[in-house]
Amino acid sequence: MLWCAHGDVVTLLSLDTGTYSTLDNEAAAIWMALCSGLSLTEIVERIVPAAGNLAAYSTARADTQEFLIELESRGLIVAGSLSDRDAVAQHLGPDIAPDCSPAAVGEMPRLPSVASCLIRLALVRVGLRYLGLRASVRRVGRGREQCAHRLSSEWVNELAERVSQAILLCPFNAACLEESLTILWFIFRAGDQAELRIGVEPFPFVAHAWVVHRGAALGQPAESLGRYREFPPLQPWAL
Amino acid sequence: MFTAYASTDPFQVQDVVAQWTHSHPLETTISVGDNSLAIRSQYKEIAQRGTAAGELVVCGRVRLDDRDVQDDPRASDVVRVCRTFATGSLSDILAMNGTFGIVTWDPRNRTLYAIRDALGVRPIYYRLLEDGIYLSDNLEEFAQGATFDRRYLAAFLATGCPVVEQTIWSGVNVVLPGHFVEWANGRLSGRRYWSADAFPQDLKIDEPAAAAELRRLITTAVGSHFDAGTRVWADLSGGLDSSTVVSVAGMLFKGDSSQGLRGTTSIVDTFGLGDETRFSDTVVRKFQVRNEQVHEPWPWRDDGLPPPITEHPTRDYPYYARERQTAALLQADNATVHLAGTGPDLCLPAASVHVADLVSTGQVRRGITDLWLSAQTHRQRIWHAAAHDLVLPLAPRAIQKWYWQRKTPAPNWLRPQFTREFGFEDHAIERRLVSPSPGRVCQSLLGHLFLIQGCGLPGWRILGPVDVRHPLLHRPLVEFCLRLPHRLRTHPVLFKPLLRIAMKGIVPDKVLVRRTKGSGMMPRISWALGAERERIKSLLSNSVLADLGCLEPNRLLSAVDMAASGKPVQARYPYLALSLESWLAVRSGKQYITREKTA
Repeated sequence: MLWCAHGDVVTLLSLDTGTYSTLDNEAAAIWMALCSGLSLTEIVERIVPAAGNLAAYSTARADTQEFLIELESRGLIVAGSLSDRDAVAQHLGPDIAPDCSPAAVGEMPRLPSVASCLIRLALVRVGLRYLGLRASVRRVGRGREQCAHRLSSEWVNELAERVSQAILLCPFNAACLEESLTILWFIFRAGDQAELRIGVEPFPFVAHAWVVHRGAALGQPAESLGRYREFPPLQPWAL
Repeated sequence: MFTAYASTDPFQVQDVVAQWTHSHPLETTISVGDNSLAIRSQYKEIAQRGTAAGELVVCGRVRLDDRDVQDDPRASDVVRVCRTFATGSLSDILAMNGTFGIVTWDPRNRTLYAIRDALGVRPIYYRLLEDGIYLSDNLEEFAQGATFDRRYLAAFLATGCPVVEQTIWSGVNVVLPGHFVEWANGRLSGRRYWSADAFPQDLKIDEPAAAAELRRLITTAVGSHFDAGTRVWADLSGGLDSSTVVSVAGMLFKGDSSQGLRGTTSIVDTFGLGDETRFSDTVVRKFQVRNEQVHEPWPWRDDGLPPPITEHPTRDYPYYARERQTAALLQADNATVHLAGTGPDLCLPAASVHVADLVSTGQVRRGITDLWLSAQTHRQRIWHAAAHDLVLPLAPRAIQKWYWQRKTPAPNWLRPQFTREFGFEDHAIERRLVSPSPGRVCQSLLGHLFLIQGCGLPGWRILGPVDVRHPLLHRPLVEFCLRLPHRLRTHPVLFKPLLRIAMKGIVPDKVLVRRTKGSGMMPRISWALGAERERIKSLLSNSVLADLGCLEPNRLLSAVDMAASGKPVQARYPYLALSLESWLAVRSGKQYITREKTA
């Protein structure tokens, strides 16, 4: 589960189903409180203080409990029990930073052809459709925690260009996620590291994926990414 | 403001003169042509000149961009127009560079002309009567007792900026941009005298010469708005166009606010592409110009005042709180003029239909290259881009119409009978239809887009008494850009290439290299459809458009909820309907709730 906040709206991305959910106003506030590790009582206190209006507090508590049950039924949270202390949000696994320090720029591997990019795009598309987002991202980065090789920015930019040309020629509709996973796949296979970033624009709802290689977004101007609120970077070995 | 009445019956004209003299004693009322025409106007808006055939009259708001060095500097622009007409002909008036909405009486052929400037800044309205014609530059003159025109409503709901001769009031027409109407002996006719698609492209001009000429024209255009006695502010969004206006003004007057720009206004909205002050601030810092900001405006925002009564509905009517806030900033400095950056979006278009022109005139390699780059930039498949930008524009109009009607059906909350009877779908797709003539596709599209823009200019910003002007719609500048070849005018990746070259060294580099345009207002509008739901629900519970048989309010509310939830549905049509509904509610005197302020 990934989530990001923008104003009073929280967007959730389920890595298993690839679906987005948005929470606004009080629902967003509850989610943020859950992620801070607060208990049910503490969460309800934030919305409606107990002192002064017991009826409102009881209603808020009941509503919050119902909301948490719904979150659990959708697989968005895992709770040991729904007692005061046990409502806990599921997080990603601990961050494992890739070990890139000794990699130096050496001879660049051969760039894939546009046809090769097209084939890999098709494979990614099939993977996303039948394995889901989490499994696809994991497979793309399997066994690539270590940097074996450092690619030059010219190489990766040319790679991004070839993948985008393959998209132009695609017989099927390849979106940004297919494009990004394809680029990531080639970079990992060449021995370097990169990150998959996913961002959302809540109104109207648009999601976008892109690849960041050594701090630079590939294939698009940085200023066009300002509209998206980003989820935490996706690291395949952490999924 | 002026009003004119012409009739074949001199007694009618006499009666009107008597009536106006009594009801508007502070205004000038005259009759000319042996009681053929009566005119009522505020000071300086009427000019008369004797001719052998009688008194020639020109009346209306005029602002000329260029003045003859022989001219008497004390003479107003309307006097200059009158002199030109008296010593020349109608063609001389139609060739003027400036903004004007005028009525003229030519005694030589006993004809009344109502002329609107080429780009459409100053509108003229008229109502044809049995034996006369009633004209004004103020639509309020026609409002009393009038009913709403449903064809206009359909056009507004489809586009937000109707390109029709009708106005909101039934029986009242508008002179379209670049058109004039003539009335003689009780008969009315009209003609279009300016169109953006009438300019052949000059393929010989090279880039350095074009950039130099563009720079000269922009400098002339911007500089002409700093007359003695004016206090000029400008819009500064951080985009290329408004930054050009502010930067050129800054260059001309070198930060001297007593003669140059007194300040700039910026709308700061962190939705969409986010805060664009990172661009506008570079301009502010370079030219040390004052900058006032309006933060996070949204439609229907409650500023404690009721929605205003305006002459006609506009697409952005619900942004009245933003307009009031901006107007207050300007009025605090006694500003008289506010400059907008309108213009280059059309003169130097980012449209990719020029590909059809390139390919159909033999420049196949260039056309395919541009098509490829455009598809890559917009993340489209090449087949789709080719169908859209190459094949469809060259297909017969009937096929274009069929395609677009399938792509843009009328929303389900509009009543089918209303959409059928008043041509909703025709209005919705009109702007997409182009002339399939080889080499003329792009120009034909621009011809229509300029008409749309011109129809929207009168309500561009509502800033009280401040005169909103568009320096980059200087006619010689527009015509020069329309003559440019595609390779200088358009680029699939970096739009407005020639403007960037021309403004090098004037506009800060950070703005010159930006590749985004700004996200527009849709993100904020989508959010506001949810935030202002109670107000919208109240509006629709007493819907004027429903009473007029146009829409189903419950279905529209469902569409609003879908758009507000962020679902990928069009928020545009619901927004246009609610804009119109808001304006109609105010004009109809219906109750309009004021939402309590919340934290």
